[in-house]
Amino acid sequence: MKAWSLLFGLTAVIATAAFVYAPFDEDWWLPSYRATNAEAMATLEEIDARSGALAGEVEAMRDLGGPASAEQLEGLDSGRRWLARQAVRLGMMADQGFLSERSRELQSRAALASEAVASAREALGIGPAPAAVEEAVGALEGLRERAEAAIASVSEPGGSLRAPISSAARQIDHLYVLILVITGLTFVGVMGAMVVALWRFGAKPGRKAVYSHGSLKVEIAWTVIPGAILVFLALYQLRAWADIKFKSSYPDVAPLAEVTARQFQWTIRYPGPDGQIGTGDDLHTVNDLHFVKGQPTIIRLKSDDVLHSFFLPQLRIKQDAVPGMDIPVLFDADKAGRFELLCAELCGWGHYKMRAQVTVHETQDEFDEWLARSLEEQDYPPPPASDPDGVAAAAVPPGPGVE
Amino acid sequence: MSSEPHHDAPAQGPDLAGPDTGMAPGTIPTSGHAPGHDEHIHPAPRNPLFRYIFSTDHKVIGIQFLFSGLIFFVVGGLLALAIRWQLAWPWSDLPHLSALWDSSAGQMPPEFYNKLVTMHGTIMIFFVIIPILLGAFGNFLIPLMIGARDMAFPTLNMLSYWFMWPAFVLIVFSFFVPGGASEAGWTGYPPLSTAEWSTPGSLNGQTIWLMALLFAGISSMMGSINYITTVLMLRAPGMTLFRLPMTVWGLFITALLQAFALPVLTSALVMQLLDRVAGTNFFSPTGLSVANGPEEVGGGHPLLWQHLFWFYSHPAVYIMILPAMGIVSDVISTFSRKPLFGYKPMVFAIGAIALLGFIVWGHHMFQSGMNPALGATFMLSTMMIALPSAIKTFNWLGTMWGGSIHFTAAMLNAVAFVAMFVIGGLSGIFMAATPTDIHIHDTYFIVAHIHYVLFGGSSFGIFAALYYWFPKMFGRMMNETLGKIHFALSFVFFNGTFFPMHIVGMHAQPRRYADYTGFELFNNEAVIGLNQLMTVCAIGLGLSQLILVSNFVASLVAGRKAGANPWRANTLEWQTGSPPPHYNFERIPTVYHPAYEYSLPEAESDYLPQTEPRPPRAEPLDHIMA
Repeated sequence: MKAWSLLFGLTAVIATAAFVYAPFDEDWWLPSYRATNAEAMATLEEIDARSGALAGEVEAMRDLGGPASAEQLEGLDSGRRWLARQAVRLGMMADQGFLSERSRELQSRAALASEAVASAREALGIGPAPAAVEEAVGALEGLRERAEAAIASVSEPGGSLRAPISSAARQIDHLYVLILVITGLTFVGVMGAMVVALWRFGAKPGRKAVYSHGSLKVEIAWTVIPGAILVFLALYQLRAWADIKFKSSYPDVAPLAEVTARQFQWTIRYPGPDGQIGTGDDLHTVNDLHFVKGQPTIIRLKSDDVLHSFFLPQLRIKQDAVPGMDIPVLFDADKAGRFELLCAELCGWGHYKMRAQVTVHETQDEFDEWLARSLEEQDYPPPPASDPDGVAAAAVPPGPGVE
Repeated sequence: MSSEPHHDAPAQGPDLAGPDTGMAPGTIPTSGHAPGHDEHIHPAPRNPLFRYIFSTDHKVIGIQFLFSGLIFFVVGGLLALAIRWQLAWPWSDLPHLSALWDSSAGQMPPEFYNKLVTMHGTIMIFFVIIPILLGAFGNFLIPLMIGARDMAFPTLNMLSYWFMWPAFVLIVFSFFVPGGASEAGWTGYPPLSTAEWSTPGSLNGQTIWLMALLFAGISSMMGSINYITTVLMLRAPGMTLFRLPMTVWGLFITALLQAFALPVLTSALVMQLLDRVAGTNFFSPTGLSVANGPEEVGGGHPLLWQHLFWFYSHPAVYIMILPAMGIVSDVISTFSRKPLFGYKPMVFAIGAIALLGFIVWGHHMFQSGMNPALGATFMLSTMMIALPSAIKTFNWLGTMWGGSIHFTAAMLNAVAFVAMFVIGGLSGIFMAATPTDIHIHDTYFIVAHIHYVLFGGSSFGIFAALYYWFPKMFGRMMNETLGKIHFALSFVFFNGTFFPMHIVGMHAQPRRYADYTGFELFNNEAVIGLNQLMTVCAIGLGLSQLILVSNFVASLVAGRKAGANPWRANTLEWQTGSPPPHYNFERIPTVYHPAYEYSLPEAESDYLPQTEPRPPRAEPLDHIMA
């Protein structure tokens, strides 16, 4: 008989332990981000090391008496090829949203360095070319410096109960911990009483149960005390709810973008140079949301077809997108890096793959740079031949799907 | 009162029709002794068609509901296992079903996953839990526990069962129409559900789904009216409202809830049906165009559906738990051999849950785009509804405390109900709090919560009821050892299946995703590993039910014969034969006291049936509590 009380007791202990141990641990979220980061970091470190070495190699050819040896030229050739490959890798990193603008910049620097090395090689094949060497070394040194800076600025998105990374997360996680403590203590108390009751009051021959129909005092106690706790909880959380969702408490900032959900993608529309959404110079992206670290950001959420839901788990933001409604959503992030945007409302067969890349930029300048370049790419798509890395793939020209 | 004509009179011998207290089943019990109709005991029809199939006997109808419900329990459970398979090993071949999907190389297509999710929810809620708790136990127990010969409207009762059949047929048939079964979730949110081309299941399946639910709703409504009338009008002499067992209170208040909430769902279902087949626009906003279809004239609003749907479906959550709460109260009191602690507070708590249940529906819509200020008021009412649930839990503990607990299979399941309901209730506070709901809404945390309430709560309540009333229903005992093994395995695997859902839910794994591994957030060992653990436990949970099935079938055929009152319980159903005769009671019993007079010091044994007066030496009852 006591075995049954143990079964209930053990279940309660495991449940409590799991709840205390596991909540929101960012270590669960980070591994896959880390895997992508590690891959990208390997690229950056390789660039850091080899572009330095290559710069030294080129530097050594500055004061040659005559044309460079075949061996030296071969070294330059392989360096040039290596740089071109790095440009492609960096382009892929940028497409994944890794370090966003930094990887774009690195990509163009790698392309530049590759060209500089190529022209240095051409010149050195004929005779001494200190100017070309100078230029190639400069380009390589610049690439190395930027790679080093990029390594230093790699940030993991994170977000956990211990380290919330947005205003909403701070309020929500605080409330979550408070409720966890209250409900946890209640649970332990109730289950403890139950286990003790099952343990102590198992049927024994000769012992009769207590004859009692209850006690008014006890009833009043266990009505008033939980009631007071619940009222406290209800009132206590109102501030957080108002701060996150009430339009009246939103800061006075212009909307960053208009996010329109449709089966099964997020189309995002940023104001162009005129600062207005809905004019001809807007930037349209698909599944690619950018904003700036530390700035309260408002988007206007719409839906083109069925219900969707705008869900940023690490930033603790969720809002349904409803056709026929235009809902402002406020959020921010304390950390730059890559995040994911999920659809959280069943929207059809492709619901599970309705994912967008979210890039939080370190600075406003970085964001502006991204916006300007994306606008340029959108308006003047470069001819396919000169765009082998598919840089323009992220930007989609206005089509029938977008107003 | 029986609707059958009076002339097909008793064929059972004069002793059955003898005069008793003179109280007719049709008279108001508090009005004293009225002229009796007890000579009009009807024997069971001899024609098996009317005896077992088109029966108006509440006991037969109850058992019909029980068997249909249990069959759909198996169907719903298998759908759940297919869901779990896909979540643990996304896109891997499903055993025995891969042949269905030649076109996708044996992989389950994502739209089929959405069908599984939708139909699992729909079947478990509308075809398993509500029919078993209300249809089976409501029908079987209400007349027996209040001392009546049958329901107030036996023919209506029969119809309430047979109106479920079109629903059963339609819901199964919907898998075979072009496009397949509905994919809009058990909540059927438009425009996904109304726009024909939004997803394959909305092509035809959704229309069938709506019609199935309409039939199920009509069936429930017939049942509710019957239960309300029966409890109010047909109580035995002396059975005042405050002497009703908690099971009857739970069923009675549930019937009231259903009677007032269901019309709203019915109108919503009709509106959605019209939107789909007649071109109305109740739920389509102006200019809506789905899947590049032509624009709708519109003028409606998708949130309207959510309000109407949840106005019924939140009370429906209580419809699915209040009867189980009543059942568990009776089982715990009986096997603790102790009066129910705080009977009247328990009754008022059920009443409070029912009343508050009507003003909390908006908590399903905190993130829906509904005005957040309205969300704040719904948050307050939702917080308050936790209070009566807490009171009930404390009273169950109070009942066990100081008792003389017999660990029968029924008792173990009832205790598990309390323990699991505590988890389900407390996790509800996280989502009642609007700010934390922002994060956990539409994640597996919600799925964990609903399963702790509906499986940990309602289903363990159903198991308890099954073990407890099986002897009364079929006249034979179930095997207790197998019952305990079934309980222990179900309890362990249940927790293994549903507890980790809280954890992955806190880590934001969204519900209704056919594959979550495409996200960097979830593509890690912890989340995938927990999902695999849940699936393994779910398979274990499914296999454990084979023990219940075999125990059920074997006991039905060869179980030990049960006496009239094997549990030595007080309520009226145990004071007649097992199984009870067609007319329930040879004489309509007279009730002398509330149902929970266990271990009365002045009584000879540790129980005192409601039909026996309290000994004169006993102290008067505590009228505030009992």
